[in-house]
Amino acid sequence: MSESKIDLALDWVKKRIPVDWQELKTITNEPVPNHLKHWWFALGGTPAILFGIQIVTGIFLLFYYVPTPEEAYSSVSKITHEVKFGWYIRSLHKWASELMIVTVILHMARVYFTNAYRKPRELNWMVGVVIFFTILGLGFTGYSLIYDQLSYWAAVVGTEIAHSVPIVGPFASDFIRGGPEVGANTLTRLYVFHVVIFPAALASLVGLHIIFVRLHGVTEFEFDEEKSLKHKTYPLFPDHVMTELILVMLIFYILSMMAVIFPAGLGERANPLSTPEHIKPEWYFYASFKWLKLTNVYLGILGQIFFAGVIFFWPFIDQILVKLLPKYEMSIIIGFFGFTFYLVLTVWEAIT
Amino acid sequence: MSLNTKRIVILIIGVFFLGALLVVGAVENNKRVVGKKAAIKISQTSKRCVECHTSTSPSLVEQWRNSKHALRGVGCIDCHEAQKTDKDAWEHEGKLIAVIVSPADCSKCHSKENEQFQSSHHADAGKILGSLDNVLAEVVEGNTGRLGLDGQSPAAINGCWQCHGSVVKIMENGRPDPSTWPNTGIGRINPDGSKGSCTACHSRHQFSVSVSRQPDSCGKCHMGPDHPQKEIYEESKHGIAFKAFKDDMKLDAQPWRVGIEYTAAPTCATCHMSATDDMEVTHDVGRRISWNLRPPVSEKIDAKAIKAGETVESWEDRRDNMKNVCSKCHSESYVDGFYTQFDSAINLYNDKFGKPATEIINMMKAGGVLTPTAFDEELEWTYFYLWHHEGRRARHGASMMAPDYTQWHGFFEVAERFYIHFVPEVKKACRKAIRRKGSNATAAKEVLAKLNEILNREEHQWFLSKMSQEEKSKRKAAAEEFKKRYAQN
Amino acid sequence: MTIKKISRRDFITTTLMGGGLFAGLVLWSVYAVQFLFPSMRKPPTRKVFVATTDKILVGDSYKFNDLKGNKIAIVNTGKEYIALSTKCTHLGCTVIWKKSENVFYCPCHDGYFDAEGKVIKGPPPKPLNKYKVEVVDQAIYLHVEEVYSERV
Repeated sequence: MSESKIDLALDWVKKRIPVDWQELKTITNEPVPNHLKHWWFALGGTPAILFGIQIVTGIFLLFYYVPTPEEAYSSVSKITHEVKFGWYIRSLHKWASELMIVTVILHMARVYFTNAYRKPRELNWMVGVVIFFTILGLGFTGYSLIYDQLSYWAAVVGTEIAHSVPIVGPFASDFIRGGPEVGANTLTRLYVFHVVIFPAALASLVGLHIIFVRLHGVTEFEFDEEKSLKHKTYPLFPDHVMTELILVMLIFYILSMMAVIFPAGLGERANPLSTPEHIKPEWYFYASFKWLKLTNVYLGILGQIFFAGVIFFWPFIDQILVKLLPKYEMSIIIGFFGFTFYLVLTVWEAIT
Repeated sequence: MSLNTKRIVILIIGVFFLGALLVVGAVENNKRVVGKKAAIKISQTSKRCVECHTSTSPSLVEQWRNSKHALRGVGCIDCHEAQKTDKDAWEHEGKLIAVIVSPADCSKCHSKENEQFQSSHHADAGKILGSLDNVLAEVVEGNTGRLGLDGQSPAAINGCWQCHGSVVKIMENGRPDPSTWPNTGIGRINPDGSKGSCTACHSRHQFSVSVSRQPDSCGKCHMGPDHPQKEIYEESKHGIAFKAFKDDMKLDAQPWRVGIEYTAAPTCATCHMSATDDMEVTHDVGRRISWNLRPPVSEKIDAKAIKAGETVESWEDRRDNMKNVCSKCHSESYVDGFYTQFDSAINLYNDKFGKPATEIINMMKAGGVLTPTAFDEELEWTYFYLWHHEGRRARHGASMMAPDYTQWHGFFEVAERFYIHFVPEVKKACRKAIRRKGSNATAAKEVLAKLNEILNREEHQWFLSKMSQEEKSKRKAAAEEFKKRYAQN
Repeated sequence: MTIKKISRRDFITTTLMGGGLFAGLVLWSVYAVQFLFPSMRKPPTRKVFVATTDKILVGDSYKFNDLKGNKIAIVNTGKEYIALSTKCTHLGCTVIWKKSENVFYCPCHDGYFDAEGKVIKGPPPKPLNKYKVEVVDQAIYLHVEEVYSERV
């Protein structure tokens, strides 16, 4: 049969990139374990998709945003009110960030409650925890860039809390603020963190995370109905790619509807001379905020550092617990209480 | 899920996504720039006023903040500034200001409106000194002596002047005399000599045009037993329509023309002031009025000017101006028909009650049958009620299509007042004078003769049982027919 | 190379799916492109009150800030009121009104503008920016660029 024009073109390219194309095709079409057909295992990919969306919308926003105290608010206002579809891009960015945090927490919960952090996957868990804190950092820095009243005072409160951390606190807060108080230096620093440092770190960490997953393989589960199946895997392309595509389209649809129904708003311009009556951080910090309100300074800060440490070193703590109390599913019990505690504090702060 | 199913799912979600994007596009196109909180910029001086008064009079500042003035950058000092030569200037926080912002002050930017207003009767509302009403407030009801406030009658201060306007007096220290201020009567005489008060209708500090277009604004003064225009409007179909369709009235619109920006109903402003597609807004409320319904005997609005030899807009032209507004909703024959009916009602009142009663009273006063002191005899009150209260109600009711006011609060009560109170009281007073055989006895006889002549006129004959036989049998037949409606007959 | 055999059902669904995705992508890209090109329309303006005519005498220049804080000078030339930006078109210094000479003078590099903002002498390349002035009765108004959400 005569070669089609497409084939001729492809041949031209292949001759100039000396790679074994056949081998490449085989490697990339990695078989995907069957249980990934279950949708709740897609919780890891969703934040990654959202990260991609954030990068794209974030770059768009960068075209108009100006990171100085005088211009920040005006530029955000301009995007929201004047630039064509500015409100849409901004709302997508806002809702994607909220959704990203929700789905990453759900993903962590899924991994936790399926004990997928156990040997040999402890390192990957820790990478994941760092990813989680990076995402929270992105949320905090991103919100502070708006420079409305809530942004400004949340930055003030945040840096004051950092200041109270024993030993390293003052250095940390000075570093974040770029000086003794929140001002122009702070804004540019937070900008650098939000636009360069955290995204680059996140990309690397997510890459590492995925490499680990590929190396270890996804924790295999065999569900009853699948025991009889001849193949324990199914192809990445086109089957799993289609699954991911469904996810992507769904996310785009939901985000667009959220942008239309609940567009991102703008509070009052930041006024360093006037503290608003009610300062609240973003909802994902409610639990932390409430904890600080309920306890004294030391217990508040140290308690949270302790909590973060427990999460980070959990695979090893879990190992010890399994040895000590093999009969009980301690991880499930502790996880349940920990999760509930977080939820209760969050809701409590939300309703007061 | 099979591959094919997945493709279909992607297609469906993709379509939904497309739909969402179309909604996004629609939202983008409909984005209105108006309606957002606009930045307000005013002079440094005004900023200082705002800073302090935000805590001392927060609502006042907030009202101003929501006003068009604030949007345009007109701040406190722009209106309240005063020169040293101003009578009411005083120093406040290092600046020379005046509390009263008079129409002359407003005319710095609103000169056209002020010009129209100054030539209107609203601006003259404060000139009621010497009128019967003022005698009532200052002498009969009130007191300017020992019970007066700085020599003014409290009845006038709190009553009459609050609608008509006071003459604002300034004390030695540059502050207004409390007996004359606060006052936003529409005919207030201001310290700078100008007439009127814009805030009477355009309430400060929001100065919202929609407030002034509401009937309630006019109704602050144009209501009550002696000129119930507000109540009459509310009874009329115009008022009913307004109440029902108030949400469609677009009271904030600029321009605000009946038939174009709104069609649901007319308000007071619609007919008496506001614009149509071919007529401009006027603050001279007399420009569309043909009858003067105020005096004991109604006359055409230009009659006084003609008598004085002045040239003013003729009553016919003014009526045409009004008809211009009517024609936006009503046909020509409808409007002309209405005016025919209306004119006949005024003529009825004039010729049956107004003129005769006034003639009698004048004769009695001239002949000394009535004392020269006003309101010291019952007959004077009766006459006052007749033309000032019931007589006006009947005329105003007819003018604005309120049948109940025209009839039961109007002509019915006019008739009762006339026949059951006025006529007997005249007879009693005259007979007393004749009996006493004093200097006024001759005049009293002439009055009685006049009264008799009046009562023998065709319209009053029934009172003397002189109805024609034909008329009597017609009335009786109608009454019999009517009684058949009830079981008790 | 033979074209791979594909069932009719699969062909239809694949085409429809691809079409739907493509349409969504195109529309989204159209919006994104519009986002990136700043609006070519004139920015909205607001008419703001400056002062009454008795405050700006002939030959005087009245200082005023627009809603964005830009410094403007309103000059009474005797014939009319002219509103000019006081930002020198050379390198942005603030020009000074010299009443005796009837010029705007820029001290940074000796630039001179006349009462109507035209360049008389010196390095400035363009005349001073003009703002639209409107006089109603005794009130002088200026048309300046609209700004949102700021409290006094």
